[in-house]
Amino acid sequence: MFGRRVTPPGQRERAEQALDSVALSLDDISRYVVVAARARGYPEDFLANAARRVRFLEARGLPGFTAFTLEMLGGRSETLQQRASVTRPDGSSGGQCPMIDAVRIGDKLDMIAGLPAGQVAAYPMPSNPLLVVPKLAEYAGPNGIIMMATFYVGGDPVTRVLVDGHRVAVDGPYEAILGAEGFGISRFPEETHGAPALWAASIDSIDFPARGVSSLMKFVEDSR
Amino acid sequence: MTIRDGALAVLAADPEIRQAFARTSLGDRSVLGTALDRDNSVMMTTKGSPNDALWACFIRHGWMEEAPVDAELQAVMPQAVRCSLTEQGRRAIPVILPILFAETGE
Repeated sequence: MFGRRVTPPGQRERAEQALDSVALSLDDISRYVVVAARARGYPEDFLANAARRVRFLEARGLPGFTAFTLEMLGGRSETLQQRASVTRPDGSSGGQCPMIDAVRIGDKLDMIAGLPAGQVAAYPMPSNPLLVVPKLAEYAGPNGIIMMATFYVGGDPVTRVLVDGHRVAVDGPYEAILGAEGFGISRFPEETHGAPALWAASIDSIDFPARGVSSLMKFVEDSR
Repeated sequence: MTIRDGALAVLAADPEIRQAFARTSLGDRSVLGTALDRDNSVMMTTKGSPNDALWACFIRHGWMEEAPVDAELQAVMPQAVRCSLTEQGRRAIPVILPILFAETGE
């Protein structure tokens, strides 16, 4: 009965997959965000907002925790003060912290939303620009509009993420969201394009690469 | 008229919204936030409750609609009221909620 010698098809893959990923609830994600952002030196007032925004993305199927993890692990050679600046230490522009940048962009959203329909405000792209998107949602809801983040690859607008206050829609491949080389923000012109189909939160937990969690925790420990 | 202008016009024209909102507790109000946040959400309250009064205003303006109460629930909770958000409500309510919260000091 127990003499089977051959691993049934798919079992090994499933076992390897189980070792490669960990199930994280949205509460787990919030805790990781708070711990890692605190270790990076973000102010205490900032932590709950960061967690809420990453959670907003993941609950709607967008890779917010991946973007956050990349943000924490990348750019470690810079101080947080340097990360806050649009100018990099080598004098180039862009690649700044998206979570700090969201505060700065927040002050410009009235101007951006007031641009003629279809006009996109180009801006030095922060690293991991997906993390700016929840800020657009916070602006869109009370203003009764839909904001659009455009992710460019090779100069082409490849993927658009639309947000009203509580809902999102994605038009284009998800890969471009994490691999974008350019980023633009605009108001989605409902008057000419109609109302898109948006979706609210429906995801309570995700499978996340175990290596990512492990790297994030090592980053936290090394930061102490 | 934009969605924002439309929502603000409704709020200005219907004083019952402000009155009903002022009678709701923070717990009552949290239901709205959760419903906006989730797809296909259906909220439940009881007839005559503060939320019932507020939701009745929203139903009047097409922002919510009553959902059926199944017989089993009706049997144990005859006063049950179930409501869901309409597409119009999902856009209009986020416009007026920050205003109502600010007015009630929240």
